[in-house]
Formats: sequence, structure tokens, C-alpha cells
Amino acid sequence: MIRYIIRRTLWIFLVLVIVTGLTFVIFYVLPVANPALLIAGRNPTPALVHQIEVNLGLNHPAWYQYLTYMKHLVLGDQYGWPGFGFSYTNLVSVKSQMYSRLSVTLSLTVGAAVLWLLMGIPIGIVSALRRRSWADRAGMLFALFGVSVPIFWLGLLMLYFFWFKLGIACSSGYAPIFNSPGNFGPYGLASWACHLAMPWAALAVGYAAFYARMVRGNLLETMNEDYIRTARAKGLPERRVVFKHGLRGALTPVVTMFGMDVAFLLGGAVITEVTFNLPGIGLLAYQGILNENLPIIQGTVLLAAFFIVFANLLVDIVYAYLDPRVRYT
Amino acid sequence: MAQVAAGTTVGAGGVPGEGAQREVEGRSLAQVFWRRFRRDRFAIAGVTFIVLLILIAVFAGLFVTFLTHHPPDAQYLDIGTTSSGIPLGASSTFWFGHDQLGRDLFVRVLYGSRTSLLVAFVATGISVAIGIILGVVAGFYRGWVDVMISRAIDVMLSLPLLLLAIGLSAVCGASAKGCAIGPRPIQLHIQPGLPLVIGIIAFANWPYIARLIRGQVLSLREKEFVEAAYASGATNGRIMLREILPNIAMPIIVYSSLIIPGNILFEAALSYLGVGVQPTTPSWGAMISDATGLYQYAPWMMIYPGLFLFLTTLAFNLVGDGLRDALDPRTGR
Repeated sequence: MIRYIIRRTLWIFLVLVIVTGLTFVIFYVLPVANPALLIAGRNPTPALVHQIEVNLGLNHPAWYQYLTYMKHLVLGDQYGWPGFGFSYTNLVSVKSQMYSRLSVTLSLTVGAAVLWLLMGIPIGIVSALRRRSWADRAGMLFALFGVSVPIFWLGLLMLYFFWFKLGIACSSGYAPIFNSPGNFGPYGLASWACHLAMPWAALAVGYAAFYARMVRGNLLETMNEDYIRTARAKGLPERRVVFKHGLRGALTPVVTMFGMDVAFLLGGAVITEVTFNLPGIGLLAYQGILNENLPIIQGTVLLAAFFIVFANLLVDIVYAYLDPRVRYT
Repeated sequence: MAQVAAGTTVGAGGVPGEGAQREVEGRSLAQVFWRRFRRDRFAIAGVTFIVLLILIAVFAGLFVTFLTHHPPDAQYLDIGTTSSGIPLGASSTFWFGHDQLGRDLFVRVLYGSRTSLLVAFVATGISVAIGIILGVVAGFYRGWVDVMISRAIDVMLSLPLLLLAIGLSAVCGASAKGCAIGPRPIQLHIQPGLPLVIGIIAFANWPYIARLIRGQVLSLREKEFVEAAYASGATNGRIMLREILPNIAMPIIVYSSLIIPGNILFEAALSYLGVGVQPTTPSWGAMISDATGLYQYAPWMMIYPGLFLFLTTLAFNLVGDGLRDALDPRTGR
């Protein structure tokens, strides 16, 4: 097990090196525009452009810039470890920007994740146990809606009806819990939750639908296994058969999927954040890409990749505990 | 399956009666599938909608010529927008209202089906083709080829693909020249717009298909009929094409149909974020993007394109589910 974890950790580092290399190729080698020109404003003098290039280190060849970036990442830069450099547009450290926006993405992801688990798993269980009932049909109709609806359209519809027309929801944007010294506690919490309610719902619908379908399918298959018949044969109450024996087998794959989905969203729920104007990691990455702000792009892509590979490892380890048949060497 | 059929035609060459009987049996498998699929009202509704949408996409020009007389790019700023630039809603000649440039939203929504359907079929087709080739080769040859392809799949699945896709279409779409990949003499020039979007979606999807197919091929290559083909002197290429590929055709079809809705939404999302199709190309995602600043005053600008997008993904989902259920009797509704 220890050897397995060490090998997987080395693999994580390799993947992260590949990710930085790939990001560098896409955003440094491909573009035709010079980032210095974007910063210099209208009609810049060649001297000014050259000065900006020197300031940002753009006058060096690509391989040198890449090695400098990797050196700062491993050893740290003027903003400490790990060195992500500074943003081209406002010259603020990338790390502090990502750090301040992580709380937004974290709020969005955790709230949505709780919501979709609370919706998806019960719907899946009921649908599987009461197959072909009206509850099953309603649940699967909801699941069909959830997997088909575009999240940005759903988000705009919610904003239009619940905020603009009916006035019963908060507008887009983000309200931090601790927005000012005298303004935390119940009020801060309420406005935070109010502004996040619609993003949570919009983000959770699609995942809840996937989870409901997955739980239903898995549980239907599990309830046909021999060990379920054994459990019933030895006289266990049906509730215990379902929750102790059936769900264990049916929910193990859900744990894997849940870990990966949360990790993916922590790396930036781009579409939701853009639709609801939430200043999270995804919006930061999106703006960085539109401005060709290479350090921001590198930082956010690397962070997203880190979440994915780390969750992958975590999920595999957890899986070994949940499913005794799985052994790693 | 295909192997069994081919074997019987060779073996029963001298006995016509038996051969004919086998042929009926072989057809009945497809009949069983068709009967099961036909009974699925949801799936039939999905097929009907998709056929209608294909007709709309193909004959969108006829709607303009005979019905609305509004070309998709014609701007009716004087009759379609207020003096402050707010688009006007539905009227007797503009059924879905106007967009921010006064264009006929109904006509643009019709033309938008072309973009979505192109992505649905072409991007899915390309990614399935790449996935089949790499998956079959990895599973069949095993050894270092498999290690290389499997590691590439692992890396691809660890990438934040949405961010990289947004980035790739942003940098390649930033200038009209597009961007160039590769060293000087053999450079590959990528033009921004729909082909780039299709390429990106195909690129993002192949690892899932390759992984699925590799697993299937790994078990199929140990089967007796592959051994028999070896014994009769078949080459590797022939075994892959004639023995293995027909046996994984069904899972490929089902899986392809299941990823189509995701691909349609992927294109719409890229266009919604402003890094998809180029301006003036009608795309439902781009239309919803146009509506973001105006939806309070002109909600039809996002409602109609979104409704068509939703119904299209819904229809493809229904068909995909129907195919899966018809081919796999264990997953009943």
C-alpha cells in the first residue's frame, strides 16, 4: 500500500509537469499576439513595449521562460512558495488572487455537492426500490431533465424569473460571509446563502440527475445479487437488507464519482461562475484566458490539474477501504 | 456474432436449406432489437424530433425564401430595436422577436440547428474514430504500445479539459489568421471557428472511448474465434478489422449516442463563453451569450435558443437511452 501511494505520488508530479508544459505550449507558442502589446495600451512606442517585455521576462526565449517558471514553482519566488508569479494585468501575485477566490469556488462547490447528494441519492434509491411506480417515473423524468438542460440557460432562466420577475431571490454576484468587521454573523451568512442559492441549485441539478440514474442502476443490479437473497433468507428486515447490504455495493462507485466531480469543480466551475458572476477560480481562469494573462492561466490550470490528480489518488485509496476485494501492490 | 454468421455461411455452403434458416436467425437478432426499440415511446419521440431538426437544418434556406423573407444576417435595426437599442419582441413577421442587432431570431434559431447537428455528428464521429483506432491497437498489441496509449489516456483524463479547451479556442480565435502548431516546415494551421470547436471537442472525448474499447479488446483477443483466425493464417490487421471490430460495434454505437448530448452542450458552452463559433455564425450557445446583458428586457433572446438546445439534447438523450436499453435487456426502464 505504501509503495503504491509513493508510486502514485510520483505519477502526480509527472502529470503536473506535463500539464505545465502543455499549458505553456498552448498559451506561449500558439498565440500571435504579444502580451506586452495588450498591456501597453493604444499606440505604444516600441521602447515602452520593450520595457514591458523586459519587466515580464518576455524577452527571453520560450524554453528559458518555462524553466524559470518551473524553478519558481519548485523553489518559490518573491511571493513565497510555491511561486506562481504575478498577473500581467494588475501586477498582483497570482497565488494571493487564487487564494482569495478559492473561498468563492469552495462555497459554490460544497453547497452544490450537498444539494446534489441530498437530491440524487434518495431519488435513485426510491426509483430502484419502487420500480415502475409514479415516484420512479417522476424521478427519472427529473433525471432526464437534469442531464439535458444547459446549465447557463437554466441559470439565466432562474435569474430572470426568481430575481427579476418575482423578486424572491438575490441577484447574481457574491456576498462574502465576513464582508466587513461589523457585518458578519446572521446577516452575513444570510446574504451569502441568498446569493449562492440559485448557483447551487443550477449547478446541482445536472449532477443530481446523473447520481439518481447511477444509484438507481447500481441498486437494481445489486438487489439481484446472491448475497442479497442470502440476507433476506436469513430473516433480516427489508430495511436492513437495503441499507446495510444493498446500498454498500451500490454506493461504492458513487464515492469514486463524487470525489472526481468535487475535485473537478474546485478547479473552477467556469460556466456557473460566469453565468452568476461569481468571482471564483473559474472566473479568474476565464478572464485570464481572455486577457492572455499567462501567469494566471498557468496557475489556475495547474491548480485544477492538482485537484484532479490528487482526488484520483484519494478516491483510489478510499475505494480500497470500502471494497475489500480491491488490493493495490 | 458476425464471426458466427460468417462461419455458418462457409460451413453451410452445400446445404442451402440450413444456410437460409441460419440467415433468418441472424436477422431476428436485429429484429428483436428493433422491436424493443420501437416499443420505447420516448426513444421514438427523440428520433422524430432529431429527424425534424435535420430537415430544418437542411431546408433552413427554404424557410427564409418562402416564409419569413429575412436572411439570418440581415439587420432590422430600425423596425427591430427601440431608439435606445433594446430589441423588440415577437410580431406577426418576426415570430421569435429580434436580437440585439435587430436580426430575426426565429431564422437564426433555425440556422443554429446546423451548428449543433454538425458538432453532434462530426465531433462525435472524429472522437469515436480516434478512440477506436487507439483503443483497438492498445488492447490488441498490449506491451509497450498499450503502456504508451494508456499513459496518454491517464494524462488526458487528469487535465482540466474545459479550461484547456477554452484556452485553445481563445488563442486560436484571437486573430483571423488562427494559430500554427508544429515546427516550421510541417506546420498545421488552425483557423478559428466551427472546425476548431469540432476539433477541440473531438480531442477532449477520445480518451473515454479509447479506454472503453481497450478493455473490451483485451478480453476479446483471448477468445477462441481470434485463435481460430490466427490458425487459419489471418494477419493482425485482418483480425482487428474483421474479427474484433464487428464484436465491439454495438457498445461503440451505444456509447457514441450517449456522448452526443454532452458534445452539443460542450459546443454551446464554448460559444456561450465567447470562444466557440465566430460571430455571425448562428449558434444557440452564442445567442444565449448575446442575451446575457439584455435578458431582463428581451428574455426571448435566451428563451428560444435555450429551448431548442434543451429539446435537442433531450432528444439525443432519449435515443441514447433507448439504444442502450434495447441492446442490454438488464437495464430496463
